[in-house]
Amino acid sequence: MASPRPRRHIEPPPRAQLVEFAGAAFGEDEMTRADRAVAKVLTQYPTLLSDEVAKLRFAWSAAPEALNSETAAPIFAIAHELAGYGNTFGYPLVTILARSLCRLLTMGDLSRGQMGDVVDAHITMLHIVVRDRVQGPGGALGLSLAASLDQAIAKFHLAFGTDRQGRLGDEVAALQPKK
Amino acid sequence: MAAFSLSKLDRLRVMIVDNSPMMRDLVQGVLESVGVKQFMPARDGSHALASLSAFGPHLAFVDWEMEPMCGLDFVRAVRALPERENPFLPIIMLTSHAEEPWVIEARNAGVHEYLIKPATGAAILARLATVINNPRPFVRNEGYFGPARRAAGDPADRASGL
Repeated sequence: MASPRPRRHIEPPPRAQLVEFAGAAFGEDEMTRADRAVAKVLTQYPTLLSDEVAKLRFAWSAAPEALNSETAAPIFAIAHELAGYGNTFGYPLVTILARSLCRLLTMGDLSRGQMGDVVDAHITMLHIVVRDRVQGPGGALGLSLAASLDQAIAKFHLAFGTDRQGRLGDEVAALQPKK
Repeated sequence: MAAFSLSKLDRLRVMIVDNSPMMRDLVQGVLESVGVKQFMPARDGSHALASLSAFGPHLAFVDWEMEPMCGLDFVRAVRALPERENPFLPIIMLTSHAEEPWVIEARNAGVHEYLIKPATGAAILARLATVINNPRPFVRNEGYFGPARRAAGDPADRASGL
């Protein structure tokens, strides 16, 4: 016999429990249709990634000298969106680079002077990946871009005595096909 | 038990709350591919809240980072609604925030499921199936009203991490 629910549990009304849709199951056919639907939507936004990278560059150029959660918010918002778009469009490097930029932007109160080089490096790498259509793991180019950015990130953390979490090179290497 | 007919999904009403038109189109496209026909897109939490009563969704896919009202504040606002206005709305958070503190914060706000972008068609459908087939009771205690935590070992745990 099933144990009774604890008294503190509240049973939602049937509509909220989606009772009339119970049993919904999605097999291989449905998954294939869903993948096709995603691919179709992506074709309707051919310049989205390049547009977002351009917006990111502009937002960074307009950022004030003092960077805090409020003043960095516009740049963070675009980087955050890019992180979501990257893999969806088949650009996992965009997701990795954008997430790295997001982590830097949430480090706390810093200045443009302090962050300039490392943020510029991120934006440059994002621009290259999108401009040159470096899809998927990117092979040797992807690893080279990650290594170059890792150097910029290491230099930044060394200058400010902060700790870095992980290396982009490791993330990109993990994407590469296994031999 | 009779096989489920996907045609039933034409009665499912889904709210999609995301400031990105592409993401709204993507989620809608995936759900349309399996027969869902009724959608209410919203560009942020406040827009979604304003449409909630009129549209009466069965469930909502909600992004996190939006302005003026973010997804988390939308979830909290829904959970604070009076009972006649459906504070039990199943909510699937679809976001780029991948780190554990974010997942925990979303869980504590009362989301049902958490899906990290980029989301594949398969992942979106899997979350939909989980929400439909694994209804959860709610709990109310100090500072929390929302779905009860799943028991350890619940297979649905693998999908959502909540």
